[in-house]
Amino acid sequence: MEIISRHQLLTISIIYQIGTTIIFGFASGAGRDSWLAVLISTCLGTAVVWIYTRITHFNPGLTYIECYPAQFGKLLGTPIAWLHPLLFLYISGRIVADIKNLVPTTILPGTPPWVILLFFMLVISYGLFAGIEVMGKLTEIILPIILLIYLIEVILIFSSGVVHFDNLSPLLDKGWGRIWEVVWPLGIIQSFGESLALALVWTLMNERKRVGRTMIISSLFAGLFIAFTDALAVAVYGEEIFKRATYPMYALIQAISVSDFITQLDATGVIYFCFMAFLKTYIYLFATIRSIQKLTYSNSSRVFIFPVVLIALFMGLTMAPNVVEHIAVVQKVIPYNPIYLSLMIVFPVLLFLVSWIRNKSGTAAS
Amino acid sequence: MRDYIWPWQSNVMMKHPWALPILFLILAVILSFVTWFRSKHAPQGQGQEQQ
Amino acid sequence: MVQKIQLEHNYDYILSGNVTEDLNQFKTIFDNCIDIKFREFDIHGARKGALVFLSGMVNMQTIDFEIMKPLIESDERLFQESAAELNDSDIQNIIENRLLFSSQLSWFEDFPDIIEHVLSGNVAFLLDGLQQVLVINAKDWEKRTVEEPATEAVIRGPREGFQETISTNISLIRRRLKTPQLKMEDMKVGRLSNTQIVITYLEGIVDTKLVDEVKNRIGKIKIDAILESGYVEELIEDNSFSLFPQVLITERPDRVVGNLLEGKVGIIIDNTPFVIIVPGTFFQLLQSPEDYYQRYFVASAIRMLRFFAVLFSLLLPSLYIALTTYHQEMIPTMLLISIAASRETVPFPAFIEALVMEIAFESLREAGVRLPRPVGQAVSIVGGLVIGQAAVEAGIVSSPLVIVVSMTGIASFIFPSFQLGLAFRLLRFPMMIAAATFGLYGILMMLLLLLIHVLRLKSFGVPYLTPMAPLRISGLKDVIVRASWLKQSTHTGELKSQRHQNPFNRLRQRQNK
Repeated sequence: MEIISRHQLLTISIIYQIGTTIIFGFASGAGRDSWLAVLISTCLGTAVVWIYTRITHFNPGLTYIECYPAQFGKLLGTPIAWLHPLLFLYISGRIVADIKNLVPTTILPGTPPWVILLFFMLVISYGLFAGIEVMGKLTEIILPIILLIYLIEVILIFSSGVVHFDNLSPLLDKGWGRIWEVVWPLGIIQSFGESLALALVWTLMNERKRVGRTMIISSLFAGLFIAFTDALAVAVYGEEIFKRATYPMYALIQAISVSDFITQLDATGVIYFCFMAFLKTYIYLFATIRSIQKLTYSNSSRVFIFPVVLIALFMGLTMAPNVVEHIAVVQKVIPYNPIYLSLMIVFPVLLFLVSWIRNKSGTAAS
Repeated sequence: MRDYIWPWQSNVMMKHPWALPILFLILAVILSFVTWFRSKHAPQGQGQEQQ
Repeated sequence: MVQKIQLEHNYDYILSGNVTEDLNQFKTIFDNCIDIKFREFDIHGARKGALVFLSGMVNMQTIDFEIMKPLIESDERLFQESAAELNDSDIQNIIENRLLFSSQLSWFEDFPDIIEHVLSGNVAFLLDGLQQVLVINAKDWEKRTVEEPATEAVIRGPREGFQETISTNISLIRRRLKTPQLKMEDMKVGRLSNTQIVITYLEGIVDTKLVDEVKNRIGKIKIDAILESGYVEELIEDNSFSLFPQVLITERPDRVVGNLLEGKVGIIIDNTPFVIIVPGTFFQLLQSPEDYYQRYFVASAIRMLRFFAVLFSLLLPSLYIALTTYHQEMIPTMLLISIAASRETVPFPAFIEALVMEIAFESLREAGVRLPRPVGQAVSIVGGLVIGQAAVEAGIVSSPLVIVVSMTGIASFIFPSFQLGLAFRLLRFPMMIAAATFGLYGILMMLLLLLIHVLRLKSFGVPYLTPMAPLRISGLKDVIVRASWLKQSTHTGELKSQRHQNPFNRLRQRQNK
């Protein structure tokens, strides 16, 4: 049985939740108030994550997936549980497609995308084979490096003299409307609903009681991080460009130009993104494999690695012919897609209530 | 019609957004049968993963 | 208990007490071994005896003056003291206490044991009528003087290095730890070589499970001969397939002692000066004992330099290839222009260029090892420069590349552990291939692959990248910088369980409580 420590869970969650939003952002619709939208999403999202952790708390010993059949009965609970690995698989396919649309267009224009993705999936497979313990150690080592690189980026941005804080004001002159548009449902789903996949990891932590606290710390930190980056992006580019940018954060790195010496560091941004995407995909595939393992009562998870990776690769390759369509799906379809909403918000809330009530009556009776 | 085979593709998701949820539901029900079949393999210690 | 020798045939012979018969048995077994000598004698015509020894491994003076001389000059009446027949123990008593001058003797009756002792350089003393044989220690052979280890020179620190004779090595360690807590247990490995292996540890500091595991693994070795510690290393490692060594190899006694104080186990092997220390972690392999002898600021700075050297030796050529092939925009413009200018005459792409230069450099280095010492150093350096210069002028490589390759080479010499340096040297090549195919993305993926692999490694149960992952802040004090002695952790002897949590707490400083 693998065990990860609290610190490892923290580092995994932080990197995961900062994840791909650091490049795509979800709040560009809110213009210059995006950072505010992010902060609000953070508060609400942290509450959602807390609900997830409470569910595992009320069902001791069971992974998140097993709570559904346990609480809702086998007939209803098992199909709901099965929806999760399918969703996770789809989302990991999305991230693979993200890479397919980003890397060949920015840093490796001559290389066929399937080779790039194949390499990616190979490393992911090795990581899956090695186990989550190894990934925990990996993130432990790499998180400080990531933060350091980010700090250097920020310093370089300020040194490039492109930051204009007056871009950020006036605040809220277009009203709260567009903020709410972004926060619900996209904001909550994008960074915090996706933490659902982390729930499969929680049972492997060595101090179960501290899971909730760890996740709250990580969610808040990630939210602040993204809010800051958003604000910086607006400060550099102004509202209009920010709203139209395909990759708002990536655009930030493109702005670095220190005395003509350090310029054009786009590739670093892409590499940064690749690593974040790597971890997110890893966690999603790990969650998928673990869910399938639990739902089919198998002893070993290794047998599922190959098919799951292959399916994710195939989906990613065929998902979107270009980045515009891909992002359009995120903006227009996903927020209203019943799968996302139900799995990430509706069902957990129900599960939480049911588990809570059962737990209360259980302790009252005994 | 052919679109329905690839419901995760972005163009399909835009035109028929309900295709993916339906696919998931169908798969979930089918796979639940797998769980039901495999329930005999359920180890006795099921659920005692972490205390 | 001394482990039994493993002999090829089963010598089931029981000593009869008749010297002629026993001697014949010896002669048959040692047939065609001209270095085995037999010295038959009789004591004043009353009793017959014989000596069996290996001529190249015994001290002739000892035999002549301490065994033969007292025998021949002994009092005639020695064996005629009482009218009754002297029994065996009386005779043994007489020989031990009144006849021979040696300080190390013992009686054996097991025939294979006696063969083993003779082969180890002892003298076997047979006496008519006795069914036991006296084994006398007279070992002496040609050995190298104790000199500075060739592969681990330091500027400040003792210049003693291990040798091929195991007793000398043991004494080098013993001199530095004058405590009965320092234990030395021995084992014999190798069907034909019967090499003596000594396991050493500090009782009370080491985890006994570790010692047991070490003994277990060594005991499982089934091999004909152990010629060097490398054999043992490969056979007891957790994962011998990996490029990274999971044990520490050293020629320096002070390094061994330092590690013993941290609760590690040392494995000394006869006939080789290289001692194995287990468990070995990545950061231990990057440390040099000199770090502890220099002032701590200096030592910390040098440690940081070493970290950069690690990164350079792995990544520099790959970065060069990736940046010049795929990401030219990242290089500052002036530098880009000069690189482009010098690469204009080069007919190959950056990858081939780098590959050729790297292979040439590695060949030079290997060749330098085989050449006699004064010539070898000069050839490596001069060869590198001259060939590099000539290659640039011929237009085969560009001068920035020569700089890159030589800096990489220099960086790889900074590794205190030769084996780790080798691992990184080899890893450079897949990294270059990844950089040539996928640019920076390839470097990232390759690094991740490498990192995942290294994180999976364990050495005798200890994760390879301790104390960085799993993160132990207290252990980091000794990894990134060398904290001064005042700030190093203290050790309270009874906290063995805590030590299992922090396996490599620095234990050298005890604060007087």
